[in-house]
Amino acid sequence: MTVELEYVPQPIPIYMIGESHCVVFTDRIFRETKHLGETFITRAMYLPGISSHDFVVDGQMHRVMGALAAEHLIVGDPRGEQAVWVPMHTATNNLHIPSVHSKKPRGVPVLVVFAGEIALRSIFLRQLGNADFELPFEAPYLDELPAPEGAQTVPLQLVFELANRALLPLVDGLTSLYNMGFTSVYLHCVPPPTLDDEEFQNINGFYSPVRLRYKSALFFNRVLKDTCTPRGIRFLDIWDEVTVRGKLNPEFHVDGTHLNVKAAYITLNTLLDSVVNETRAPIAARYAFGYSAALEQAGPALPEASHEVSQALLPAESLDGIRAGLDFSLESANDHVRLDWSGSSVGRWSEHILTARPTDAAMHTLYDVLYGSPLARTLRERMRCDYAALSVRPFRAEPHPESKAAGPEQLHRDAAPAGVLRCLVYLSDVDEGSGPFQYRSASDQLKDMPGPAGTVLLFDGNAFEHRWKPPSKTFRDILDISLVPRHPRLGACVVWPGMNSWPVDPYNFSTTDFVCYPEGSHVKLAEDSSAWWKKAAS
Amino acid sequence: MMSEPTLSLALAAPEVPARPASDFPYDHVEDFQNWRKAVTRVDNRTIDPHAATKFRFDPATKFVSAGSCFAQRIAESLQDYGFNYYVVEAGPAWLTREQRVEYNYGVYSARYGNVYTTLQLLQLLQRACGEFRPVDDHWLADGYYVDPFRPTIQPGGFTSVEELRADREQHLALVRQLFCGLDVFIFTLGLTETFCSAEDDAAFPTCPGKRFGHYTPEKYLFRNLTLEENVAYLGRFLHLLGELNPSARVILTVSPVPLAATMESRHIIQSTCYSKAVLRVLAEQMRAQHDNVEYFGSYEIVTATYNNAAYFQDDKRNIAPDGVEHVMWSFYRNFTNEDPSSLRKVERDYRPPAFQVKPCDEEQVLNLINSEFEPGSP
Repeated sequence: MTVELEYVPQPIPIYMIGESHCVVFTDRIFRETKHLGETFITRAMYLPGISSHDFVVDGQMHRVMGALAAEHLIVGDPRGEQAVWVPMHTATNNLHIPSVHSKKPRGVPVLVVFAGEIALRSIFLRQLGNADFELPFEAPYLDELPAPEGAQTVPLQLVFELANRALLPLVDGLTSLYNMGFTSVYLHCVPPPTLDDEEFQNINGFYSPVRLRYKSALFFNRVLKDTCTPRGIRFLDIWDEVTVRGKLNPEFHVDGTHLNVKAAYITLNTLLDSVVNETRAPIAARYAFGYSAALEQAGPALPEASHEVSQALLPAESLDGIRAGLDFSLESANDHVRLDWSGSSVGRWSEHILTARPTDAAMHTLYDVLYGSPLARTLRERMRCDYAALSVRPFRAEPHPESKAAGPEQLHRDAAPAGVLRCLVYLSDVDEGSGPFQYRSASDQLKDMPGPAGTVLLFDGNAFEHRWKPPSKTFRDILDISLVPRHPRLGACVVWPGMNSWPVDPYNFSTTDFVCYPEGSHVKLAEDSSAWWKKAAS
Repeated sequence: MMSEPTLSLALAAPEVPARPASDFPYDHVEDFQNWRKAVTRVDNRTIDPHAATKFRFDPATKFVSAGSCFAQRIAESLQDYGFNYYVVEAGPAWLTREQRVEYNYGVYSARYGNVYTTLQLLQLLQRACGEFRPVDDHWLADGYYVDPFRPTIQPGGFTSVEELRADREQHLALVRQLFCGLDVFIFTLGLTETFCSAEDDAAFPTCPGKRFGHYTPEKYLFRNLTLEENVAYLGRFLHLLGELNPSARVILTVSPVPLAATMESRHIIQSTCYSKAVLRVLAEQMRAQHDNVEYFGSYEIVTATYNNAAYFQDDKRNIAPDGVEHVMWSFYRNFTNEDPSSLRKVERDYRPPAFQVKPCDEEQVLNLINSEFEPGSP
């Protein structure tokens, strides 16, 4: 052979799909070094002339689906009358689960949609003509643009109606994508329009006064943001960064219509900031599939627990072994944010809540007690199947007033995936002064659960409101364990994943840099790409 | 001795002077002045209570109308039959017909809504000319704001006071433009009863307190405008209109629609008759006093042609289509040069234009691909 090949780690793709504004992202490769330490590649899926109406759900979003299928993001048979598409990352048949494993674990793919700008220009502004309207929010620099001559103001509701007609298909389509399982879908804001009337008229074939163009773009962005956000669709807003006094900054565009690479850099910064800090939802379909597989493997179904919170006791020697391996010196900031794990954000919960990185010995002890002691029987009965302790998080809460209650000290329900149970272990004596676990019982009473060190509480965190009461006198040490149903591709293990709660996908995650027992990968992943390269190269 | 008179059976007729040929005025009345000829012998549906009118118009004449609810029917008919109904607030092109009606675009020449009284009409023009700025700026409704002088002009009112004010400012400017540019103003006199501001006498189309605004007897006063007051208000309006537009001509009508409710302590029929009588006399006086003012008898057509069953709807108040048709037939017959039977409705196209999507310029897009990307540089 006359060539030499060098291995380059597989980057995580980010999919930019839609209008021409996505083209600037074609195959950009970059690393996020502060939190994720990951290499990314932006894949541009440009669909010329795509408008909001291409997202009509009844029309099955053919163009969008075609692009997603070409990137192997969805699978299905589109040949029937009604195409049935399933995102690859939520597919639950044995054909598709391994095919995902051939890629690097990355959770739910990040999808950035560029749409709305063509709807603005070709639908909204064309219809609006010279009709003006009052923005329902402040836009301080708009008055600096020349007022449209001879414009008549029309009622805002009618403008809303027009925007609704122009944008509703887009929002419906994005919602449909979200509901399919693309829970990391972003909508990019409409960029600031050109300031050049003549240029606008040349490109679009009709006249629209500059102030109306800007007003309409601001209006669209607000409508899109306010409509998408409650639906779980995140809005990527870079307007302020690419404008000067509300007008397009010449540094950030190539032709008056399209933003340039400097603006693209801002988009990527904004996007990654959101990716790092936003909650990542677990893939419900995969967890449900894994849970049913675990139940099937468990044999005859056990009865469901009749009580809300099951109680057990940890053997004293195990308790000592675990406590010895914990040094509560870490803040509750998530230093291990990862795209394949759901967890808290990078900010700490509170200065009064500390965590620890357990020693290997402590994890070994915990493994033994969770899988080999009489406690294991209790856990299995309550889980009704085998389990894996995929998230073991030690916490110390120091005394602080109720007014400083933070995070898990507020009454809440979990949003845990199917079959996941919470297992709490008191590592210190817990009484009223050290802030016991509290939950709202079926009789609507708040019940405190004090107990000596070694007390184990087992419950379904989705079923009722619960919290930790803030300690008033003495500190409280506990272990907070998430027990995940152990499907056939998952081994028995204990994992300390930092401040993460559970994998986004129980079939496709890694435990690199976490403390685990036994060491190594705990899900039967296909070979990762570096291993494949080494094998092939040898 | 006096002689006896001769008694004879054949008495001669006494000598009485012959009655000269009489010039009996009623022998010379026109057919339209004769009840038997103008009413009794005429089919009820073709009775036309008009003599010669002062002026006639052609289709190019710019008509503007305002008034109480019945005025809407006049505006509709003029537009349906392709007359030049002058509209200054036409609304955006994308609206459907239903939206246009909901938002009062084209219902009248401008979005002023119903103008029920002469005082309201006078103040509308005064506001448009900047001569009157009422104290009541806006009224609150449930979650929105309304213009006290056209509170139902759009569903859901205005989302902010700023939007309301901007719309009103534009509206009044266009109203002024309207009165300056019209050829004929048709005003349907509707009511004498009204509620006014105690502070500045601003006349409102509806009493506040139910769906919008907050009524207090100290702030809002009931008035039943007398004939003299109506004469004064309408006279001032005509004067102001004449200053703006010396060639403007005015057609007055009285709405045949009875009052929906009265604040006077008497039967609603009595209040209706009183109100219509005052307005009818008002119209007659204005017609007599002003060369550019004519009266059109829509009130008479609906109420005095013995067509009550056909011309009123089941509520005995609103006018049925047959009644409106009769009224407008008479209008075209007496005020235009057109033969009403030759008029055909025109297609009023309210279909919003189809959405068009124009793809971007591909060349511009391709240029982007070649741009440099330097993550650390910005």
